[in-house]
Amino acid sequence: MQRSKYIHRIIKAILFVAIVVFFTIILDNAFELNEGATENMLVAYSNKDDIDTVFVGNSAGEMLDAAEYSELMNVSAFNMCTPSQELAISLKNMKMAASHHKIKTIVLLMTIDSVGQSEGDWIDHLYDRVVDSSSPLNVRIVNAIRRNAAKSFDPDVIGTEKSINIWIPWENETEQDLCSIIENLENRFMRFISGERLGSHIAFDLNERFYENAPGEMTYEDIRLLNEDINNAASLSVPSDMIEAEKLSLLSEICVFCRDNDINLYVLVTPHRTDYYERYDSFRSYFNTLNAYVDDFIAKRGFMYYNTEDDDKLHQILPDDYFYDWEHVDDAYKDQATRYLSEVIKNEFE
Amino acid sequence: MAFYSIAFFSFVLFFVILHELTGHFFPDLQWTVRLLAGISFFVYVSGLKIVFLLLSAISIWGGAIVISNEARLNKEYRKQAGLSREEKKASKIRSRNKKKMYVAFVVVLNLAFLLMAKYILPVTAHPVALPLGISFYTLQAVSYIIDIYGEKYEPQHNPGKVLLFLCWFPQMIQGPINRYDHIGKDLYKTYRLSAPDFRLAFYVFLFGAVKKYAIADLLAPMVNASLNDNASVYPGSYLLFGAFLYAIEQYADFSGGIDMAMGASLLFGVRMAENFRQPYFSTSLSEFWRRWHISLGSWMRDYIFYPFVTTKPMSRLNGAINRRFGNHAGRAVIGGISNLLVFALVGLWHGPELHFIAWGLYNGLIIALSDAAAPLFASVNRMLHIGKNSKGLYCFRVLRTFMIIVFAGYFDVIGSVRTGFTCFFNTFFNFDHIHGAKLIGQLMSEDITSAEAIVTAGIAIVLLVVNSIFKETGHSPVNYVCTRRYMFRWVVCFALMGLLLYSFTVSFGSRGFMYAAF
Repeated sequence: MQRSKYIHRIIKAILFVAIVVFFTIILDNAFELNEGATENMLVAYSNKDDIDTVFVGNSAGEMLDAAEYSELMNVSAFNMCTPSQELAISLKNMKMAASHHKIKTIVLLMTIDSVGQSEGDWIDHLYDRVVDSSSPLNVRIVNAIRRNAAKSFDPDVIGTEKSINIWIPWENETEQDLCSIIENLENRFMRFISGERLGSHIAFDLNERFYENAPGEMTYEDIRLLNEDINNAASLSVPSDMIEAEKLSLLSEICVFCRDNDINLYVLVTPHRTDYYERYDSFRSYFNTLNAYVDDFIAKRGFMYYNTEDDDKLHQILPDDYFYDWEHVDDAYKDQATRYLSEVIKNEFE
Repeated sequence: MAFYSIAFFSFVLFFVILHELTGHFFPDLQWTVRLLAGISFFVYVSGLKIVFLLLSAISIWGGAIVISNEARLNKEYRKQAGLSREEKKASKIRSRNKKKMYVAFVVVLNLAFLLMAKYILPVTAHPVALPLGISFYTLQAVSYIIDIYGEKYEPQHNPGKVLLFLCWFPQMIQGPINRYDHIGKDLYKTYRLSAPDFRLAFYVFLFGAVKKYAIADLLAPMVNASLNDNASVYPGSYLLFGAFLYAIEQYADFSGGIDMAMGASLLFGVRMAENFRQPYFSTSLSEFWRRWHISLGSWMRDYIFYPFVTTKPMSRLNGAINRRFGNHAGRAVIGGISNLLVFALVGLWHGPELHFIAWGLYNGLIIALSDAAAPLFASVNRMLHIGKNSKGLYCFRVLRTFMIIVFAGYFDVIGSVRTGFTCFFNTFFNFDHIHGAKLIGQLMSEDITSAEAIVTAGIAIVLLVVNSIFKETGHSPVNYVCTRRYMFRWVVCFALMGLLLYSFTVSFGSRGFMYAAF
């Protein structure tokens, strides 16, 4: 009697946990945007053969077209830049790139203001899951548990709420509206039914054409005015301190990783429109100091750093009209940007 | 260490298993597991500052035994045959003076630890973090030694058990301030966790977590944006909105934390003191203080208010006023002075800042004035033919008391007394609802909060209000849920868990418990 009572309780406990896991999976799929940029990029990368050069960095780095660059430089390149990519994610991308192919060169493309921003880890779990997506289910589950346990029991995390929420992947997602949640679920379900793998080339290609002026819909002047409005409304968060220790530590880790794996690392600050620094008014001197500091920091670790701001010819080759906004090159002028950056890399780094 | 963390869950799980095993094999030693849990928790959070705790425990353990021995010896002496009445009286006075000296020494020693750790060390050149729970366990220590002096109960001869009384881990973060005669039996008894007890503990903890994370943490950014050092420039309507949210946030934060602590404690069979009894249903501020932070309020009443009121100077003053102005006047003046003292101390207990003392005095002053004006209110009610049991009067009183509490937020949250007064002024003379509405609207546009956060908090607040109404009418929603079939329980559980977890997605970051800082 007593024994059957215990068995009954154990079954109920297992059922309880199963329901929690079931809802977690459902909600994860509902909240996490289908075909996100990172997800698509990673899957697209895993389908490529013989890559020897990768570009990592934030959305500004998407101006460097991998196919064009490969032709110009006689290499096989892939662009891993994604919107708001932080250094921690860039490092993850580098590690993933090196684990799949023999990588000879990594170009880290940055905007100077991004060096001064804090790191976040919102994309961590997505990255890990996508990296695992081609593995068998049992391996994925074991890897997920192992990774979550490592994060959960990290001494800095273990005593905080985050230590539990790490196990609830959808908790990190930004809020979505109801329509996108339903669409998301529908897309994922259809993909599951059709047996299609996560991500697709088409979606990634679409993502690459994000910074495209739509003629007749929004002119350059419209965008300029829109940017001005944003500048006036938003309070730009520029740190008062030089550079965060976490950023430096990541930069250092990136250098060590490249050195240990015999990879050439080129750190490049991407081109921008002439009014780029106007956004920051009095912070120009801060960025100059930051620039010199990072230059020195990278040089001390045996690699090279170049800021296209230092190039007098920049704005002749890439005039303001070529930009979608202050730091993203319009997709129509990507070829010009790629040719320019290829020249810079050839002249300054090689 | 947050209650809602892997560290705390692992800690509790480990000690619950150990507790159960010890209960099975060595039931008499089960209390030592609780003691070990308390010490481990303290050391994990505060490390070597456990010295403060040990010194407190040793002082009250030794002090209690000495005081108790003195009382016993005196009784034995007085029982001897052949002693005159004067000799017995002299012996009694001698013994009482000795006991007073011992108790004063122990109390001063413990308050000195508190003073040093809370008020002196933080302002030195090398500030030191507070030892865990010192504001709470010091008051427990003082209550124990004073109760022994008053011969309320027998002293505990086992120093380990005294230490356990002070360092029971769920009470360490933000109380409640437990009393030895209430919690002692549970702390030292043998206990086996049953399924219904586990369920009760789980739901108490879960509902506490919803209060903390789905209400307090979601309202906090809006409160911080409206009640801050710049508050004096805001219109009254905006300030009132902030103070109103603060009243909800503070209750959800504090009572949520207490619920979580109680849930953890119940897993070990230890039922801690009740700290809240639907305080926002109070019809007066004095009643509010009997329903809010009950353990602190009752401590202040028993160990400050009554002893102070019964001192010789106060008794003499009471007599003089009674003779000249009547009994009510005497009671009102003595009560008023005592309340001002008690609430100034309550303010000081919260922190050594002036605004806390102003907040305490605001409470004390309102209570004193309402006591003094009680006959006036009664006669107005008689004049208007309002019965004592009138529902309208009840609602009016509840609303009035709530508004008094809301206004108190100006002194509680804002770090400057001057700004607090300006907020008060603006609330009544610069309400400007149009500007206020605009500022409230900006809370969302400036990324301070989001519509999702407000809706989530709103749902949780509705749950809290419904729960409070049920409790106020004598029902216990938690007990009700716990005694239903498991399908019903699970639906409630998943709904609460969903609300809790969703609140993290829309939260702008969590922070520790407010009262942990006190």
